[in-house]
Parts: sequence; structure tokens; C-alpha cells
Amino acid sequence: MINIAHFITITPKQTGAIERRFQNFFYASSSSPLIAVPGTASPLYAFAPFRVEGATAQLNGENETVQVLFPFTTFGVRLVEEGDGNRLSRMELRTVWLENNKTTSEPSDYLVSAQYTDFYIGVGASFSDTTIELRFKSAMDSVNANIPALSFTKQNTGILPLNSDINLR
Amino acid sequence: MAAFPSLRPSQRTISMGQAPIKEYRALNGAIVRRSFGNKRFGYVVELTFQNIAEASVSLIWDHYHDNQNLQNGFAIPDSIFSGYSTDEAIGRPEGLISRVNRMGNIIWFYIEPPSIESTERSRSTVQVRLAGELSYAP
Repeated sequence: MINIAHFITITPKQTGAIERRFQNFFYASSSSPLIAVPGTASPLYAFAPFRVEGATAQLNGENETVQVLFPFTTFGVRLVEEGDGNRLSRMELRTVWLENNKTTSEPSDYLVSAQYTDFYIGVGASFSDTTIELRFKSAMDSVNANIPALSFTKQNTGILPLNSDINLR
Repeated sequence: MAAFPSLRPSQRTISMGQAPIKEYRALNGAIVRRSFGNKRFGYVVELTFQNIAEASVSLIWDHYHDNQNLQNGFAIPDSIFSGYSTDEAIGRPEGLISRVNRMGNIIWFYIEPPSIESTERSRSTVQVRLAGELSYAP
């Protein structure tokens, strides 16, 4: 049976902000102990009970929206506040497929059979009574028909932003 | 977090926890299963304490009304599994208590408020349902 784990690294936009790393597969009752992706020594990730939802690819290559749901805890609120409402924070999402042919379920019992890495930019956050939702979009947008010559230059778009808000000039 | 009162139930049902697995079933009935975690959760223990004394009922009442127990969960004593043994007690790795009540990552919560049925003067039958969950406190 395939086991699917998500390892995320969230970096707030502010200069000098602390990079946060979480994984949602290997259970711990608190944010320690830290574990690495099986088969590697670093970086280390803390357990957090989050889930990732949303599209990861689309035929037209448009910016994809991905939601990361955290439980509504003081820790989750702090995560949003540090990231200025998750505006323009960066997220690396590693989807790791794990195999386990043993009878036990310790991290060392798993082997990575495949992994996919995606990069996203924060576009905001929202709260409900039980969850905190961090919303992200893919960092790169497709080249659209209304972009001249199918290429970006500083002359026709200005300084390239990290998200898809490109204005033609 | 205060442990559940050390009482011995007259009836007990234990349901093992479920694995964090999602299942896709195709139209022809074939299934594909994917796991999203490495620990089981949602153990259930249903207990009936028949014709127990008022003092024992009050212990359960007080335990249920302790806010810490509702918020943070609690441990259950080995007396709840009275009749079974630990590995150490029987000298063989066969004791059920060593399995049910030694899962370090499981915290117990009330599934629903306990019910008290009066049976005779100062005697009651109390029913309690507990869930063993993977608790997270960052």
C-alpha cells in the first residue's frame, strides 16, 4: 500500500523571518521530535496535523490554488500572524510516496518510492471555528495570448512580481 | 489531567482503532487504498458499571465535570481492563493490558456524557463511552 505524506516549508515574506517546516504523516503529540524525509538526514520537519487540498496542475498552466488547512490553535494563529496574513510567503510542498514492507510503523521503516516538489506563493488566509486555511498559488503563471511575443521583458511588464499580478504597459 | 476513576466495570467492549486510510472504489468494485499516517486512532471502550454505590457514581460525575479532562483528555487505569493481564504479570508477551493500555500516544476522551440509571436506593447503573485518540498539543 502506498503511504502519502506532505512535507512543507513555509517562509514568511519578511526579511529574517523564521522558516517553518512541517510534515503530516509521522504522528507526534507535539511539535517534537523532528524528523527528516526517510532516507535523508536533513532538513528536519515538525509534525503538524495539516492537510493539503487543491489542484497541482492544469492544462492551461494557470496559477493553481492550493489550500493548507491547519487546526485553529494558538500555534496556527501565530503562523498566520508571522506571515502577515500569509501574504507573499513562500511554500515548498513535497509530496512523498512512502513504502513500508514491515510490520511496524516507525519512520525508519519507510522508504521513499517517489516524490514531487511544488512551489507556491501565499495569497491570504481565512479562519473558521476549527481550521485556519492558508491559501497559496503557484509561483509561475502561463504565458497568455495577450503577452506580446510570448516573452516577458521589464519594458512590457515592469519588475516581475512573485505572483501572477502582471500588468502590461 | 486526572485518570479515570479506578473502578471495575461489569460489562466492557473494546473496539480497536482505525488506520488513517482512504479508499477509492472503482465501478467494478476494485479498491485502491492509500494511507496518510503511521498511527491508528479512534479506539473505543464502552463500559457499564452495574449497581454501583453512590460514592462511585460521584467519582465518575466529578471526573466528567473536570474541565481539564474534557479539554486535554485523560488516562484510564488498568482496573478498567480487570480480568486481563499485563505481560509482566503473567511472564509472557500475551497480556492484553500491555497492548490496550500501554499505547503511549493515545489519550482518552468522553464520546458522550455518561448516563446514570437509578436501580435501587443509592445504587445506579452507569454507562460510559470513551474514545482513544491521537491528541496534538503544539
